[in-house]
Amino acid sequence: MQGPNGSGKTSLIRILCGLARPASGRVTWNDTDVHRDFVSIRDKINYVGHRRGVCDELTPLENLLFAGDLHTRQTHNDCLAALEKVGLGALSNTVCRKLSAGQIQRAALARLLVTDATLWCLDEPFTALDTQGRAIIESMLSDNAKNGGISVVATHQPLSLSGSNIKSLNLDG
Amino acid sequence: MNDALNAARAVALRDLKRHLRRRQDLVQPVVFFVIVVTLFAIAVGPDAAIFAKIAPAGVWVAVLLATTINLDAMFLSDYQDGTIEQLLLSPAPLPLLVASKIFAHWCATAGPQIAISIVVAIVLGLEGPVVSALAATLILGSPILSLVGAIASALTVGLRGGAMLQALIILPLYMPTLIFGTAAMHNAALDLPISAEIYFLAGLGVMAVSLAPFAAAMALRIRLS
Repeated sequence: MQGPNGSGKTSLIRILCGLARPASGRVTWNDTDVHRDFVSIRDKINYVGHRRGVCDELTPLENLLFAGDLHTRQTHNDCLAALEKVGLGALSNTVCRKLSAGQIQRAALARLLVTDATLWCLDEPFTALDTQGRAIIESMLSDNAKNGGISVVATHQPLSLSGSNIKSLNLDG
Repeated sequence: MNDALNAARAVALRDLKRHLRRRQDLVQPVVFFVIVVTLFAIAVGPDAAIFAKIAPAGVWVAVLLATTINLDAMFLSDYQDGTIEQLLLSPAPLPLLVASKIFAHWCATAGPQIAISIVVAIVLGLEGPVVSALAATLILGSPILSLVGAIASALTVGLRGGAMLQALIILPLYMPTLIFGTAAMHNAALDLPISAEIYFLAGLGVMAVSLAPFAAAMALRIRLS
């Protein structure tokens, strides 16, 4: 999903995951109205927005265990493996206050790996990431598509995903 | 069901951990409380008879003010870092998760507050029955303050000037608790029974426990939509 600043990318993503209500129209998924029957689809959605959902006072591992508990139970090892994958293995026990913006972003995106959600709603996931981080996220997106998941990504940078079907939506201001 | 309880437990433990790591949030209201009571004592002057009469009012008002300035810690940082959005998207029922947050906030703030209030009451020279009435009413009253405060805190979280608005919303709602809390202390000073006030506070507490988490959850949903 692309578009100039202020064209409504964030609003659309928040409406898609049921956080905000549309002024008109409906959002349905498998014939279920997302806003009427929010409860039944919540465990299928994973959202990483501008506000990362990563607490400064906790470590990446604690944040991830908490995210796992909010959805389905994940083991300690699943969380460690997820942090390993996004390149934070060595920092799993450092308080997030001491991490850089890119590292916080990685900690937030590691959440995608510890829930069973198949719909990933990502608002500018590449913000603050270096090229290596970007490659990791792109491979995660490809894997999600291969496993039958969908990712909705708002971004200003063209995506290069191998073997997945990309549909591009351009919003105009 | 099990997943929901597990999520609620995770929220409570996480919040307790977070509160303990940000100790200044817990210490400042207690210091504020001591300063307000001290200012009050200085303003009333050295006449012990007058002081004994109005000290319960001073202590209770200081408790209300300290609680009010502390309410921000309940949702604000979670709103800013996006944790509230994650709670909204959790499959567990939101009122349950909000109740866990309120419980953790109450544990972290009310404990030190009650302890220091009793110490201050003794230092101020209040009599034994009055001090025990204070302890009893605070133990019953402080959950009400946290629960009702959570509604205002959720309604105003992230608003510019939200702290002031929150105080304006919440202080009138604290009146019933204040009335029964101070009435119990006055009765205790006159050697009268305080059971009526205790029952009223318990009743208010039951009402707050059963309604406030739903109202606060709804308020959070509205704030974030």
